[in-house]
Amino acid sequence: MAGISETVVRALVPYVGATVADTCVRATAISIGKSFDILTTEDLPALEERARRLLAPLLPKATIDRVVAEFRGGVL
Amino acid sequence: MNDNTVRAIEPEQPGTPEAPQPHAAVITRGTRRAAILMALVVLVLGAFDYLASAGRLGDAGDLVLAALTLVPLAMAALILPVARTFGEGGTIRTQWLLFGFGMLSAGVGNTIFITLYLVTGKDPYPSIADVFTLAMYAILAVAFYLSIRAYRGILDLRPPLVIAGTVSASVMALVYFTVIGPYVVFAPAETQPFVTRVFNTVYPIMDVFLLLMPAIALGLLVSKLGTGRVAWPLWLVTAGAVTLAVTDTIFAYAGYVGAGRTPIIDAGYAIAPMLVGLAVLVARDVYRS
Repeated sequence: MAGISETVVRALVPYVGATVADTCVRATAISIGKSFDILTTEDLPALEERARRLLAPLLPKATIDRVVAEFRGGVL
Repeated sequence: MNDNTVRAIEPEQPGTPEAPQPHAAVITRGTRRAAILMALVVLVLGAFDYLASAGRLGDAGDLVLAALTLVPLAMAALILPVARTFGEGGTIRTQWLLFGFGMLSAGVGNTIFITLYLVTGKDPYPSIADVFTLAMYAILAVAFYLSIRAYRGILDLRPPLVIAGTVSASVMALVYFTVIGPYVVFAPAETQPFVTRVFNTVYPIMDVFLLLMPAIALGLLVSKLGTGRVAWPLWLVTAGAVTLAVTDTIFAYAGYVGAGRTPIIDAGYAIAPMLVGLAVLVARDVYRS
């Protein structure tokens, strides 16, 4: 099974592309004092919060809900 | 997900996560058909416009011009209802509504212009129509500002803005030395009334700094998204704004050198709003995917 970081990146890539998706997850990891590779399910709320904040000006709320539901579904 | 009708984007039910569609499946058949229809309209109107410019349609040529000027109104009628489905109170909805209101303003200006022209038989420039056309620039500029600002949390905005500013300043210098300078500023006083001279100066400046510059900046920003589908509608908006700015500048130059309108220029004025109209359909498909 792919790690949490990869799952979240994979959910974001179709919308914002690989570079931005990767940056989003790495920046979240740094902001909570971790590295990209060791994020756990406990970090999911932080990832979700950051993803929502970054995507809010780019996508309607319903679409963001779908993206978040997808990576939550892939992780949990 | 391939429903072609305009409907509100409703949140998915919790617990039913849906994987995003592959890129190829995102654009609906309705959007593809709309693109084909728009291309056909441009081709048909362009053909009639060519015949009109060759004097083969007589007075009916004015109807072709009238049809062309109605394109922005048609696009506003498309954009505004679709944009309203993009969720209450969000920035995205506001951005698209502004693009729609920009088209509406241009359409109203065009309609007043063509009505005055058909009624009086004289070139109504400048006139009250220009108030609406100028308002379009302001509205689109705000829409672009919101679209660009949306990326501030994700991307560094400075390089695209600096590049866009530099390119636009260079283009402005070129436009000044080839169009505004020789044909407006240093033209003999009797060739143009003062008000016409002001409008002839203001339009190219707005084309460059309120359309071209933000369009370049937005294009550079969304190029960072690679194949990310959020960028797709914005590519179309960028192409529409650049098309409009270039067409406007060519039209101004053609007017000053006495060439007047040409079918190519008219096609530019039809294609630019259509690209923005197509963009909102692509945006709808992307947001549903």
